[in-house]
Amino acid sequence: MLNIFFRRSIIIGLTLIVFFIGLVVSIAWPFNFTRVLQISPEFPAMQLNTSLCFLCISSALLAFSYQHFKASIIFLVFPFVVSILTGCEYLFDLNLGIDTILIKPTLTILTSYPGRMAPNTALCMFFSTLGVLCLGASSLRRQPCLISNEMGTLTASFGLVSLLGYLTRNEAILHWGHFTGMAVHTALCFFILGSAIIFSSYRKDCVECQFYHFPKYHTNITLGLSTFLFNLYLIIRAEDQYYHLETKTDFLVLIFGIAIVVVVHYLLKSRHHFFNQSLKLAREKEIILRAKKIIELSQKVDQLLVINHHSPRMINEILQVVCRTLNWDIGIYWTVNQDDLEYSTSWHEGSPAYLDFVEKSQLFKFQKGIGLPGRVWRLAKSQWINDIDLLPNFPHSSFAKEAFVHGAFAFPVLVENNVIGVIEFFSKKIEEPDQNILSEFDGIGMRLGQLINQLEIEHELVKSKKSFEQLNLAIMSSAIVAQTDLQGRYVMVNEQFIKISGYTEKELLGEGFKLIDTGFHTQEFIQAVWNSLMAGNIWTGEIRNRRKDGTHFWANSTIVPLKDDEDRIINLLSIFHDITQIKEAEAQLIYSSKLVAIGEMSSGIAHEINNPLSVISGQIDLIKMQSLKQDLSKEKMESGFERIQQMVKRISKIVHGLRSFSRNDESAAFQQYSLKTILDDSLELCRERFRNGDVELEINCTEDYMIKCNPTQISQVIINLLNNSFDAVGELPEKWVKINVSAQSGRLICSFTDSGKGISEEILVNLMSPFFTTKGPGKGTGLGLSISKGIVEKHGGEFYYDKKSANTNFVMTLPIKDTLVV
Amino acid sequence: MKKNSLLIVEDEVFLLDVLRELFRPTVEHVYTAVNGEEALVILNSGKDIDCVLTDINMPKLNGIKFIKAIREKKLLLPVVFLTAYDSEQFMRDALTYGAYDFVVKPFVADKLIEVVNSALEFEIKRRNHFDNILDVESDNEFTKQYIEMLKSKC
Repeated sequence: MLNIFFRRSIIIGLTLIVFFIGLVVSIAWPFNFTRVLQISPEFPAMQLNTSLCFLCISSALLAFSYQHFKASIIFLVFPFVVSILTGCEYLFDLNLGIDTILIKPTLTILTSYPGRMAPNTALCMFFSTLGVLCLGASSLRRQPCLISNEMGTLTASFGLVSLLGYLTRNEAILHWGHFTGMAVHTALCFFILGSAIIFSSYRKDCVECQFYHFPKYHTNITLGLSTFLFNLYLIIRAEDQYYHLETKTDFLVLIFGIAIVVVVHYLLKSRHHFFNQSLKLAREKEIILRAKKIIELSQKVDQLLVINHHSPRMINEILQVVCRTLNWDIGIYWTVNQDDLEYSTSWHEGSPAYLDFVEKSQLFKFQKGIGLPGRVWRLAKSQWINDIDLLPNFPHSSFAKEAFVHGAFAFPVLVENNVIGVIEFFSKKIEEPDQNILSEFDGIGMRLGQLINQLEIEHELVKSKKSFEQLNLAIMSSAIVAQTDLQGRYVMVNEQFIKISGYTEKELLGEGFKLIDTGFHTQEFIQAVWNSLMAGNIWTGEIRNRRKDGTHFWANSTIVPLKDDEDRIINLLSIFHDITQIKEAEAQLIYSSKLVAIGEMSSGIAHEINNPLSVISGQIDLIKMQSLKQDLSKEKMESGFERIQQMVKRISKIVHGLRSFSRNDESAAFQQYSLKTILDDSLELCRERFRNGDVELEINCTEDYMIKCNPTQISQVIINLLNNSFDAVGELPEKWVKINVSAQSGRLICSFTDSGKGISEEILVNLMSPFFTTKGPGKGTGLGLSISKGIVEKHGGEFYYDKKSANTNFVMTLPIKDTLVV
Repeated sequence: MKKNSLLIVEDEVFLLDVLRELFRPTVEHVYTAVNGEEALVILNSGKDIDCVLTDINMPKLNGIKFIKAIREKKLLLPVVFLTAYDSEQFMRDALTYGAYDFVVKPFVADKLIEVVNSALEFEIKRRNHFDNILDVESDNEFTKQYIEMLKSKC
């Protein structure tokens, strides 16, 4: 087998000779260079049509060599038409005018019809046209390869016979009958052209050619000999140098010709049949070999997939395996990144030239349709390039030359018809395309794509699993976590839960949450939480729980309904944070601020107690004095004692109010309480102070309302507000405080208005912030309003400053339980 | 001894009753008022009052404002304060306006009576003293008139 490169050089060289001769003769015609046209005056001239046909056929063969199949077919149209029409003119004795269409020939010597090519020339032209056409077709199908070989042989033989005729000066074979003869350079051209076609028909990818050269040699020899025999017959039959066509002889020649063709055909057929068997075997062998290679490749790829979990490394290994198994030199993986193909990884044997090639490739980005990877991306099909050097628009070609790579092959990595990457291989050899390998790699690409996709999904899963585990660990070690089923039974509790509850895991699991319930929260509260959870909402709030030893702990709780695949709630996940200490501190703060409020009221309270006390002591002294003077009547004594009793009652009422107000019951459960009672009790403590301060106190409360509350805390809010108002109006000319109680859509609205003219904007910003006070040092803690707000909000109400009011106006709203008509 | 009069100002009606009863044996006329304004009305009504016993913490016109009003009328009669707690500021204010004495609530009756009695005695002495001073013979018509005016003010 000839080296593919050498073979192609020969073909191109031979074709160029024909092209040159055709070109020279074509140019010579308009200038009438008889020397060029005839070579020798006694020889017939090469006609213009002939020379133009040579130009076209040689161009077509060149185009074919550079794989421009379409161009080659276009070039062939002219010689094909001319040869057919000329043949028709001879056979049916017509004049179609094609001979003189381009130029009126001035040289008509030895020419039967001016400008018309010889009949054997037309025949050879037809053969060679068909030969080149079949070459082009053979790149798509294997069969015409043989036909082009036959046509090449016929062309070359006729050319050679004519050349021999010139050498022997036997004109019988130059001129068929009295017709024009084939020119000497025409004969030479046909010989060269025929040889070029024969060379071209030996194709590497053609199984017949590759494994069994004999049939083609056989055809060459048989057909060549037949042509010689035919021409020999013509010489023998020639009389006075000219062969005259006679009907009988014609018939004989025809029979003889048919017989030769039949024999040749029979021989070919029998040969073919014989070789077909071995051909089949060879094909099967090759298929098995290929399959073996592919299986080997698949197995290796599979092994790699098992070993490696990280996709870039895995692809690298796959590149290596494919290169080693199929003898490629460089493998590059390009990944699709939005609008570009970017270099991802590569493998090569490690020679410096390849290293350089890969380094340069890394800088490359292919757009869709550009370069081999871009083309593969666009078509989503594998592509093969024989030789990068011969392609005009290959972005790699400049440095591919430096790396001495020629063959290139690329296939797409597909995920559900989307190209996610392209794997490209390069080889030092000039590789011939093989459709089978291409389609097999399409399959591999698809599998690889699926695996990469799967790996990526797995990688994501592992990643999210890990982050989930870390998150879980963080929650489990910081929070109290429990999971209950829909019956409220524990199905999971964490260490923290066990630690705080005092129960063991065994005691908790399967038991209901009632185990740690304190009974502090009402049924309605629990029902509301449950309803919210069953509606799929996440519930957040504070819950009081009981430990095993009976003590309580407060938990800031977040309860999340857990759903199954069909979105049904199956479990409840509770995350608690122990806020017992915060709760205690909060209660302590409320209590201390209450004491502060009492402190503020102390002067009023002292006065309030002192007055009745004075009455008592005065009355006692009076009775004493009267009894000394024996001026004590029974009535006087009784009314005196009555008065004393009244005074004692008054004192005890104040003491009671004071005691209930200062009671430390911040964490006690809410009770039903009449607002009026709370209001009266609170006012009892500060009425005197207001009276003494000359501040008018007006209460508008026509109806009584039952509210669910901690009464001392509500009382604290009222007293805080009254104390603030008292301090605020102290220096004003007009001093009054009004309390308005009304109800609106199930909510109780208590507004506390004083004669002050409102609060400035800059104070309003911090109004409810703790430790913010406008009172002088030692007079206020700055906690009153912030604590009041906290208390009201804890009762499910609102506490705000009403900006719209002309006077200073604070509003407290509370949910009403019941309305009692006073 | 019984030729005297006392004005008691106290917002607490029960206490007012007790106080009236307490002074009945020693004082000829006991006038009562529940706040400073009422007391001023009594003082302005031309009644001859020798002494005022007043509470400090009262609505409308408290003790301090009340004594201020008395002094503004150029009345020099003694004012005894009954107070629930001994606030320094109150005392200082009261003294500024010439308070006679303080009795802290709850009081001991004997002590209160003693203080009021001494105030009454003081008032009698003061008036006598003024009478002596003003008992000056003068031919000057203008001086006569001035002394008359002073007497009427005392």
